[in-house]
Amino acid sequence: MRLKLNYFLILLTPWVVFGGPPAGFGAPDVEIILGTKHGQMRFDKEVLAVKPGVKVKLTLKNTCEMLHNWVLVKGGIADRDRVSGKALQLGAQSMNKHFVPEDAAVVASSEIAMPGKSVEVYFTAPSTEGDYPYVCTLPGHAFTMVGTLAVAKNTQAALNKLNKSKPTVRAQWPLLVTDKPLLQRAFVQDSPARSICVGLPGGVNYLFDAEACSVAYGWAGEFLDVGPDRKGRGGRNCKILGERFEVGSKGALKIGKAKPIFEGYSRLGTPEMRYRLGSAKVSQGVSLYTGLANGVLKRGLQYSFKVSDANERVIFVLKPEQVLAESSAGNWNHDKSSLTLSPQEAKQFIITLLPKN
Amino acid sequence: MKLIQIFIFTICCALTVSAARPMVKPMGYEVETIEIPKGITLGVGGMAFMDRTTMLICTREGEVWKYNTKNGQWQLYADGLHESLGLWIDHKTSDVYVMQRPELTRLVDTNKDGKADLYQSINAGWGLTDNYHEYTFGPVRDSKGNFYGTLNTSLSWPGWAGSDKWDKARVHDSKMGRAAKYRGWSFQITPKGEFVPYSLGMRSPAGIGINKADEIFYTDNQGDWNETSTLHHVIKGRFHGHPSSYFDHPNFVGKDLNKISIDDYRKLRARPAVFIPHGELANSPGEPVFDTTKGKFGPFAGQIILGDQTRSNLMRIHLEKVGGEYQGMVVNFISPMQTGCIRGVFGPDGSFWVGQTGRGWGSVGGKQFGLERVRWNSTHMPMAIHHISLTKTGFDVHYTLPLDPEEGAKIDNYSILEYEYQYRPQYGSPKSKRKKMKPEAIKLSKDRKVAHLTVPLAAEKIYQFNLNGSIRSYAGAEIANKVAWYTANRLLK
Repeated sequence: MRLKLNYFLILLTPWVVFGGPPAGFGAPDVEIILGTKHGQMRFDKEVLAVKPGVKVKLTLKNTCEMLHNWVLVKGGIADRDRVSGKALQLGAQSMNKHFVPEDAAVVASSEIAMPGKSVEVYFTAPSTEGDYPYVCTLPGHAFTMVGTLAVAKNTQAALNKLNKSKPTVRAQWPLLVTDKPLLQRAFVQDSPARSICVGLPGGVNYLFDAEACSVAYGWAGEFLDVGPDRKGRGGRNCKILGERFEVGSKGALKIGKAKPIFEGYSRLGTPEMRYRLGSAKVSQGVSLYTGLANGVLKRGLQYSFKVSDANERVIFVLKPEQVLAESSAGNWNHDKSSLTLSPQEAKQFIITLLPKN
Repeated sequence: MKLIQIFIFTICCALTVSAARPMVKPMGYEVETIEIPKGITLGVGGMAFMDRTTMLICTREGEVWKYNTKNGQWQLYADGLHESLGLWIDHKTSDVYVMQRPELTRLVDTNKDGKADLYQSINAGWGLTDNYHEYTFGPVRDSKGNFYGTLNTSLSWPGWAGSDKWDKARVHDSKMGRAAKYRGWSFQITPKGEFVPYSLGMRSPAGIGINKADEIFYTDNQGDWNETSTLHHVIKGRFHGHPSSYFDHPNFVGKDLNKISIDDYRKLRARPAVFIPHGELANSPGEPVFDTTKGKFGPFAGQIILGDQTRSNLMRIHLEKVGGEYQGMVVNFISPMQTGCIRGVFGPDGSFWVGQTGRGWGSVGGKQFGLERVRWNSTHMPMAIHHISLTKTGFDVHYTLPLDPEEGAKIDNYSILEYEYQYRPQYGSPKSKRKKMKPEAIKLSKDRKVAHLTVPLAAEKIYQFNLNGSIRSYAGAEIANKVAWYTANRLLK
């Protein structure tokens, strides 16, 4: 009777945590509580250390509105990214498998922690000393929700070493994206004068050139340091706080020879850029897109275009050597450097871009 | 604004005043400092009232704050703007127009949640590089619905700019130039949203103001081609003095601006309506605000209240037309405030709100930013020079109160310095051709509120009036500010 009840519970709510360690685990030697940074797509601890072979109880406390998990991997960053990439391909199985794919490199993994909930993982630390990456493999999280577990006899020394090797971002006045998109117009180094920076929850950011009316590039990680503009007399270029990636930018949509005229943006929800092309009106939403490029997990951008009142074909051009592009409508030319859409198709279409390198 | 000045004249900055502020203040005026909540950085760029109790303040940091003047509540209305240095509110629609470096933007609260969600680009017709001096100031709007703004020149001299990428259109080795289109111009944006280049020759036009008659004025900072701080009357097509902007003038396309002599530029130039002596009154003036309170703010209705960033003071300017052009008097009013006074707005009750920023240039008050409110208590009439106007034989000094008949008419109580500045490409100008004078005769008006001074006059001169402290009102009240300057570009015929 009791067994049957448990069985039902598992069926209904597969991610429910049953307190306590698995049978035969015994009492844990070490307990670790790992939190999440609200809205920032980060673990609250990005370095951890345990002694080889100890029994670990790790509690993942999810304080975000999003789902998270925790996967410990053997090997290096490439192994971590492979596992994260495989997680994206689980398809219908994703939730059942808690976004944890079959892979020999997986050492330990948690179930999915629902918003505001905790999950526990019991595992025995590897007996081999070394640095083991950990990651949240939910879609889009694997770029920023990462950390390293050091397995070492001298845990303090290992922690010190990891902390030292962490790149320090020296931001004077960082703008932090939490659960809402941030938008900041500013001078940014190596960028057009009429730049609009947008930081999206999830650690993806992009720069929209309001003169050319197109996304110039994206970057992963934190948003923007406006200190150079805000401190003292200011006027110096702000700095992006992450790793820039190219999006094959070659300007605005094209309709005949019409010059794009920037019309502003809406900030109801995710920012939506607007511009005019002759008599046509263009709206462009930008969001995070993740996928595999040549088997490697990549973070890119997704453009949601709406073009109204176009009276001839609409063309999207890009640099195909920089990105893998897909679209929901229209016809690509042979080398995928331009996409042509009929006015009807252009009314609403999506383009996804993944950087090639 | 004033980067350069600090390099050369390292004096007079960063003086922190520990004594009770303000030290100079006419009787009946009180200054209240508004407490800014922690977490708000309020480098004020523009201010306007949305309704009787809601003031909107845009900032250098790119935010627009709603400040409730009744209950002191602050609410963020918009953010993410690129150095917003001015705003204007359409009271019919409640739309807010804000000037950013790259464009004029309309902010609309479409879902009526109290926060702007639609940022509409109205016009971006001017050039812009990442040169830090390329400020955009404004907007003011005339009764026909045209907006006006002013565009700072570029800091072009590589020695100061740190790069030669902005080194364009420097004229006679000046420091400021033109790295992008229409730098140094004022512009108009028509109700249809079209950009019209309007007047040229501006250097660092940090303040723009408009009166009830749709007349536009702007202030400029001392620097190359600008002898001292100045107030100018903007008229379409007018050249105000800094030649780099001729680069974009249709009649000068392709011409070598360095082949035109200083003297020829002088002939092209419309002289400033008022010269404001550098180091004495202003170092970096802000927005000229016309007193439209009809007496609620005291006896100076119709005059311009002007703040200064470095000196952190408020001044008064009285304009009159002589020979068809404006000229007039400037006098200190209240000094110092807590930090640089760059913007101002009259509230519905007639009090004057001062938007402040220190912004790394150093300002006498010492704080980095702030908001202060100046009120007149309406019971104490201050004893002050109300204004000075030109006569055919000298000047009439108008006072707010009747004078003590004896001291007010004493020639020895008035010292006058006549001088001029040199229009030149170098940074600023000393006072030259100085001539100390005494009035030849003084006669008081019947009501003893006007002293008629007989003074030999010359055109294109500045007259500085130093009043002796023994000049008092009939009741013995001392004059608040005893030094005034009159710009005599033209003489009465």
